[in-house]
Amino acid sequence: MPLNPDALRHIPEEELHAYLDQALSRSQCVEIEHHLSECTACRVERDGIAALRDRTTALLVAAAPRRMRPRPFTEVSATHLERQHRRSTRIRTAAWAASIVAALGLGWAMSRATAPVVPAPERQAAGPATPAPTPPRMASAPPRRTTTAQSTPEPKPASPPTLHLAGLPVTPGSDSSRPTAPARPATSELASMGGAGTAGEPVLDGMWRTVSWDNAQSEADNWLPRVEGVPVVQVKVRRSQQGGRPLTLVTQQLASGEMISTVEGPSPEVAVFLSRQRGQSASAELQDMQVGSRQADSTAGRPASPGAPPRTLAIFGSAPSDSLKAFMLRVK
Amino acid sequence: MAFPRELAIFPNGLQAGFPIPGPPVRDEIETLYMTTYSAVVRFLYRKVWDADRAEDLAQEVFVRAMRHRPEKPRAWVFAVAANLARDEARAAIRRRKHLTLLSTEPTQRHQVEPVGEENVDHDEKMEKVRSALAQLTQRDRDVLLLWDAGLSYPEIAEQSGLAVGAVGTTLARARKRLIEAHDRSELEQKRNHAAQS
Repeated sequence: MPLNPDALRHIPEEELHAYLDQALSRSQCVEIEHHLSECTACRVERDGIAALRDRTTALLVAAAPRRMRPRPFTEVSATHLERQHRRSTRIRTAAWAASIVAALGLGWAMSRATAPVVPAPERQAAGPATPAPTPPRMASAPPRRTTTAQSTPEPKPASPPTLHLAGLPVTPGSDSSRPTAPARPATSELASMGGAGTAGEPVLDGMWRTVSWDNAQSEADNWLPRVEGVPVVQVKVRRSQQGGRPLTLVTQQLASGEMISTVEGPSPEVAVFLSRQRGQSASAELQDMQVGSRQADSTAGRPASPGAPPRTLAIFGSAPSDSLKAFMLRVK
Repeated sequence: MAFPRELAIFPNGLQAGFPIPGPPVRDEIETLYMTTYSAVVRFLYRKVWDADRAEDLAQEVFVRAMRHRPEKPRAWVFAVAANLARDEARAAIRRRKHLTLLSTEPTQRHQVEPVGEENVDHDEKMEKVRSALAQLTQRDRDVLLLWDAGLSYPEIAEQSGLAVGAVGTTLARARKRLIEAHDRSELEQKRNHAAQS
């Protein structure tokens, strides 16, 4: 630093502003103060800037509301909590209304494949409620080979029941072997991304036809899965891509006004259908359904179609998954 | 440690991972509210020029702060306030356009309170400051108002996109221009008075 103050550079205006605004580092301040102590011109400049600064502040003070009515902070936090609540409600509603796909997929080896003519009903008659439970299986578990029975009908449902889940790859039985009828209970998780757009209304893809109850009954071999005791609003049928028994969609309205839908069809198609239901993922347990007997009944007398894919039955709608699980038990 | 900040009102419980009832410590946003509310209202008022609106917007700023829990709360509230004011200004322009479409009459300023002598004085002063501020460039005005709101140079720099070193320059210019504009309008007023009498 030169010793002669006149030779010093004068402090730039903006630096004096920063100095007065206390925006400089300690060492910068020391430097400036040292210069000010020796330079009259800069001291004058500094005083001028200080006055300008004060006037600005004074002017801005006038640019303020005449009075303020600060509200207590509780109002702020109340508004915050209210919004938080609304947000979570919205999310819940979405998770709910948008069809919690309680996909109670109950895969079963479609018994239409079974025993050409008589045996199935007989078997069912023999012991409809006795099939041995399969251990729970996770949806993500690798597909297990369907246990097959000899084409020779067996007197009892000796063969272990099979469970197929929506989306599981299917290993169709060979020509000589057929999946046994009685699908059996199991509990499993089926996670499904999906959810209907609005309050339980299913999102329909493909060519769904609305049909009368009777027509649907006849198209679906007199077995339209639905929750017993709940008024049916609509029945829709879509031709299965594999032919044979169609996909059925029975929509029912609960006393609360919410809709629940029961969909039944070949597992892959049901899985696709469920995935179209926009919204949240939902999981539901596969329930002990005992539908094997019904399946067998409904298909009795039909020509065997060997290697028929497994089918899935699922319920979804704007109800909590617990309720849907409960409804699953009431499916007829 | 990343505990939910909501639990932070019970520091004892925070340590344990669950709330233990103890003397509740004031929420940091509440402290911020206490210390910066009027600065935020003033800041907003100088942008929207409506006291009630400024207070409503300030309230909104703090409600949002409750949700976002900003890391640098002071700078954050003014940034959000500036954004809200900008949106407000845009909406006002739209409204004005709409109004001019509806009727060609000039929009009337509503006066809610009876105007006393003091108020007239206050309003006059304010009108001058308002027009002086309006003569600044957007950047100069923003920096000046942020400074007046109590933000530091680095905070102002971050919000305005200036280098910290440029904040002093901008402030120097803004202050000078504000005073000049203000003095000009005072001078004009005096001349007008003189001409009238």
